[in-house]
This record gives sequence, structure tokens and C-alpha cells, in this order.
Amino acid sequence: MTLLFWVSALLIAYVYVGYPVILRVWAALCDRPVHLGAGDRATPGVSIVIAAHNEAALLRARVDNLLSLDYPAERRQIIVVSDGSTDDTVDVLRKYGPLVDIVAVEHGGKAAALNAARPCARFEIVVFADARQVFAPDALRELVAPFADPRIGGVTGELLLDCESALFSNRRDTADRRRGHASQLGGVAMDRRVHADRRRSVVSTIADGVGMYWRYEKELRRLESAVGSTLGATGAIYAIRRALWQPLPPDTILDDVLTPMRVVMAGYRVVFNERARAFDRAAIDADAESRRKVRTLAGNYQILWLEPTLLLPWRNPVWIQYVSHKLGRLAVPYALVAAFCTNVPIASTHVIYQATLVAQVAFYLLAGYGAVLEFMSRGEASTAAAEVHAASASTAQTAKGAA
Amino acid sequence: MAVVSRIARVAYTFVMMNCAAVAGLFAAARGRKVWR
Repeated sequence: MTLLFWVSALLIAYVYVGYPVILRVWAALCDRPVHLGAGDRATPGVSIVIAAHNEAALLRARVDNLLSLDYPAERRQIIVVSDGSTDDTVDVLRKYGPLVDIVAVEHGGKAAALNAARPCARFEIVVFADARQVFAPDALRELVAPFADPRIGGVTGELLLDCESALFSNRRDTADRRRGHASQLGGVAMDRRVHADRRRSVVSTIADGVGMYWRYEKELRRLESAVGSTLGATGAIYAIRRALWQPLPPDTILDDVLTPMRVVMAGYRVVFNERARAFDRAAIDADAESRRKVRTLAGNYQILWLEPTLLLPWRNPVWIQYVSHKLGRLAVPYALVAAFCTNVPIASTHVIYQATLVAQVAFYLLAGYGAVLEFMSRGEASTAAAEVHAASASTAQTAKGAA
Repeated sequence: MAVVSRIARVAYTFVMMNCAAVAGLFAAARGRKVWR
């Protein structure tokens, strides 16, 4: 019982504290810098791929954002795959004429949609993005710069959530101004920012935790990149060499983990460039964030049988990182249960075990209090979400009228 | 009090994410379509 307690406790401590500390020391001792490109090598041809299912409401802003990026137009291709969309997705895209390559397929999921885009990509670097997020103006240049180094097979950018920084709303307004809509939108844009501020204030229960978790994850990613390769990419902004792009199994959940890991298994590095930035919103409540996490963790389990060689230390160049980070996270929930259940019967044997039991009980009581705060703020968040939605609809209507 | 609330929120998120990890295992095992 005591042994099981200590094994569980040490596993949790290793995954969340020990591994990051080891990585930090490792990175300090063996940093592997990336040689960035200059001149023509700094702007290789890029094919940007977006898989969209019923995203008509978002795609106009998304494509406008991509077209406004600081990158030579003749070296940029935008491919949008409509994954069985039943709304106006294709009609919205047709208005862009030759600026956007449209691929319409039957609904088969994101992986199948990405596979459909593969034959259409004509440039050497493929950038993957989603319909919802927004790129910073220099994101594409920053994302492709590390490819000047021939050892680099993939690059992931940084996704900034609105709960991390007020920079988000400022960036969105800047993007609006760059598109030339500011004069028409004027006060509406200001309204949207006010609504966004209100939304941030009421959803902070989950956003606080998610923001902190996301910053922690990005620090791990930065350190893993410094010592070799990251263990996945941010689905909203990552790029690989087209030659390394392999078709995904149709039901793949985490294309943004499987694709980069295949690049790593092929002997290339996948690095994190935090200067390549995309912006997004955190989930509005715990249910939405929980659904996202269930999907992510289900995907991590799925990858074990899609790519079992990841478990072989002689085949996986980042085996230590993979086991410590990805597999460790899968094991922690069970270690938490084991640590608590084994702590109860041994608590009377030593003061240390009494202290650890008190600490665990205090932690779960705090988590319960956090749950109460979440449920209390949920009603208010729903109201704010409705207001933000109404404001967005009003903004879209105004923009349509102005156009 | 604000500090306690903040720690409580982080603790809640941590617990919620670990519950999601277990749910993820069941979702993957049952082949539930969580990705479309």
C-alpha cells in the first residue's frame, strides 16, 4: 500500500514538475538552435490548407485574414476543403475566384478532408490552419523561416487565447483596420470589444485555469523544441514540408499530433516558433473545455494504435519526451486515484501520510469550490455569450450593408 | 480571497482535465465519434 502510494505520488510529481525541470536543464546544456532563412529562402512557396464543415459564417473573415498577411501573393496558395458543408461555405469561397482553391468532398471528417487537399498543394511548404482563428500579419513569414534549415521538417506556431492576453482584442481590431473595414465598422468594432471584455470577465472561472495550463504547455513545447522536437503541433497554425506529408487514416482525431510525429519519425525536427502567432478564444465554459479535452485525450490514446512504433525507444527519436509528456498525462488520472485511495489507510502510520492526506483533501475541496464558482458564473456567461453573438450578428449585418 | 478563488479555479480545471482523460479513454475504446 505504501509502495503504491509513493509510486503514484512520484509519477504525478515527475509528470508535472520533474519532467519540466529536467527539460529546462537539458535545454540549458544542449540547446539546438535553428538556422533561419534570409532573402528568397525566407519566403518559400506555401500552400495553406483549411478543412471546413459548415463554416460559412467564419470563412469570409478567415480568408480575408490570410489574404492580408505580409507574404508575396505569388508564393501563396489557399486551399479550403469543404467537408460536406450544407451551408453557404462553397458560395462564400467562390466569391474569391482564383484566390482560393476550393475542394468539395462528402462529409468524412477532418482527416479525410485534409487528405483531399493533398494533391492540390503545389508549393513546397504546407501550412495547416483552422477556420476560426486569426493569424498575426507576420505569422506566415515567421512560420516558414525555420525551413531554411534542412534538418527542420515541421514548425508549429503559437496560439494565443484571449484569456492569456488583452492583446487578442487589439490584434483583432488591427486585423479589421488592415482589411479596411474600420471606417465602416467604427462604433460596432468598439461594441464588439466591449462585449468581448464582458465575456472575458464572466468566463474567467475556466479561462483562468485553461490560460495557466496553456502557458505551461507552451513552455514545455518551447523546451522540447530546444532539445530536439515538439511532440505535436497547434492545429491552428503549423507547417510541414510537402514531401513529408503522408495521408492520414480517415478517423484520425489528432492530425496535429500524428502528422508532426510522423515527420519526427522520418528523422526531421519539428520546432516551435513562438513568433508565428494565431489568436483564438478559450472555451466559454467548462463543458466546452471538457469536450475539447476528451477529444484530445481520446486522440492521444488513438495515436498509440495508429503509430505503435512511437513506443519503441530505438525508433522514436523523442521517446523520453513522448513517454514523460504524453503517456505520463494519460497515466496521471489513475495515479491521482491511487494516491488518494492508498493514502487513507496509511494515514495513521506516520505524520507524513497525515500531511499528504490533508493536502489532498484540501486540494479536492478547493477544486469543489472552483466547480461552485464555475456553475455560478455559467448563467452569467450564457447571457454574455448571447450578447456577444448578437453583437457579432449586428457587426456582420453592418459590414454587409457597408459593402 | 481572490488568491483562493484563483487557486480553486486552477484546481477545478486540473481535476476536470483529468476526468476528461478518463472519459477520453472510454471514448477511444468505444470508437465514439468525438472528432467529426
